[in-house]
Amino acid sequence: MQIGIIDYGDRSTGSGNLNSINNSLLYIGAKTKFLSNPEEILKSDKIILPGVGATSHMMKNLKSKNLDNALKEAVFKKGTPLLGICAGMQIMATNLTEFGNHEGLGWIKGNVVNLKKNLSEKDIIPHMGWSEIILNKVDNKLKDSLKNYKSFYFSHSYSMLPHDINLINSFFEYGNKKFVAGVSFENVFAVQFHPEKSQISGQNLLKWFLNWKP
Amino acid sequence: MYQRLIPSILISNERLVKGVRFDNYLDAGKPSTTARAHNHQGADEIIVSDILASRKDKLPNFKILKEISKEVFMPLTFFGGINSLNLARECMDLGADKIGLNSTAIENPSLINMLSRQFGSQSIVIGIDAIKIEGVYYLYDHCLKRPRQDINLLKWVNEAVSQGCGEIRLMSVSKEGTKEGYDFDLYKLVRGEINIPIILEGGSGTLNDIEEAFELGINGVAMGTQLVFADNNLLKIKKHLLTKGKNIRDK
Repeated sequence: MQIGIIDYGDRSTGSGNLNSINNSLLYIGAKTKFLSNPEEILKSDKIILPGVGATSHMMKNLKSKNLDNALKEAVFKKGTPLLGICAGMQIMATNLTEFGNHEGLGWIKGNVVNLKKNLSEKDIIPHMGWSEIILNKVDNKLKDSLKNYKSFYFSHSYSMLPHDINLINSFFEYGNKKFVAGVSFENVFAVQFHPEKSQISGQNLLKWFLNWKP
Repeated sequence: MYQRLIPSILISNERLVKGVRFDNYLDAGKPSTTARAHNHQGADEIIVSDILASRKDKLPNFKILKEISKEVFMPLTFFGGINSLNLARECMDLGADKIGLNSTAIENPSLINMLSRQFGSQSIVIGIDAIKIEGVYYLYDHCLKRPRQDINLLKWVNEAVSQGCGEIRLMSVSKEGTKEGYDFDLYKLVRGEINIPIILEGGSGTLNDIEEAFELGINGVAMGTQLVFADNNLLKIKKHLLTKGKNIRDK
């Protein structure tokens, strides 16, 4: 089985995060491939949707190469398991607000808003560093693999607010408030944090994704 | 959110080095081996500074950056005379998660804005080197090896934040490599001005120094000498902080 990593093909933001994800997957023994066209997406066994740069750029890049439709077909028709990471989770929402209002992929009804909106003046933004997640709705296998390792590295200023709170797989606390650490439905699992930068906890999550049979 | 423990390693000519007050550098081993050890001991992130690149106006050592990035599964901040969008992009391609700017940003403040618009402010760290002279803090220029009289330290910190940087790495030059303890007065001075994360560095020599920093609620503490030329390591430091009930990531 091969894990496909979506390559937005936008070199202006660099491909560092793609390489980090690739490195982590290779480290845990996965076979990987970068996906940069619709055919490759539809052939892939599993897909990782990383975040690279601002969400408006990501959407523009996906649309320009028709990757958005291929992802939709893979996820909703073929049932390909997909892991969204950071801004790769955020773009699943209907409404995005980073650098002005724009549309996301629309897979999850909801908004992505600046953390500032729900925090006080003195709270530090970006939310950058390691936070422990509080599991909400996840399968037992994932619960087991994260049993002793629940801290993950976050680095973001925006946060997802899904209309349907049943989609939330985990939370994190910041400034005495609860925020969404991840959302999921059927064959889609997405997280705001960076498993590829989260040492053992991250590797455990990626291993779970490798074996996940939704 | 946990407070962060951040090893800070200096690179010169493919070697790990460590000095005192930005001078008298000694060889301290192979960078990627040390980085691997830090990763396995649960460092929360790592700062890598190519001191030759910024001082001698050379390109950063890409080979070493790549070697290190393959060894660590945690965020990596890279400093090394980065003075353009292309250079920043190249470093990110090679595995830097955050770009650190110091003298290049002082020379050209709009570089901060350009990079933060491209990569997001969370990816841009500004290095502030401060030196205390007769009770007054000055911005220190490590290229010229002297304090800058022409730029006010706090004014520059505010400028960096308004240009869009996401984090400050605050280095006390007076304390660097001395193992005399962190400069908390410097930290409080800068903390009072801004509300983005601050990483405090310079002077940490004992477990108590780090404990004290955690008590002040500092977002992250960076340490070099303590991990290179002292008998401390991250496992020992973490264990100490956990015993003291500090806000540190266990696993």
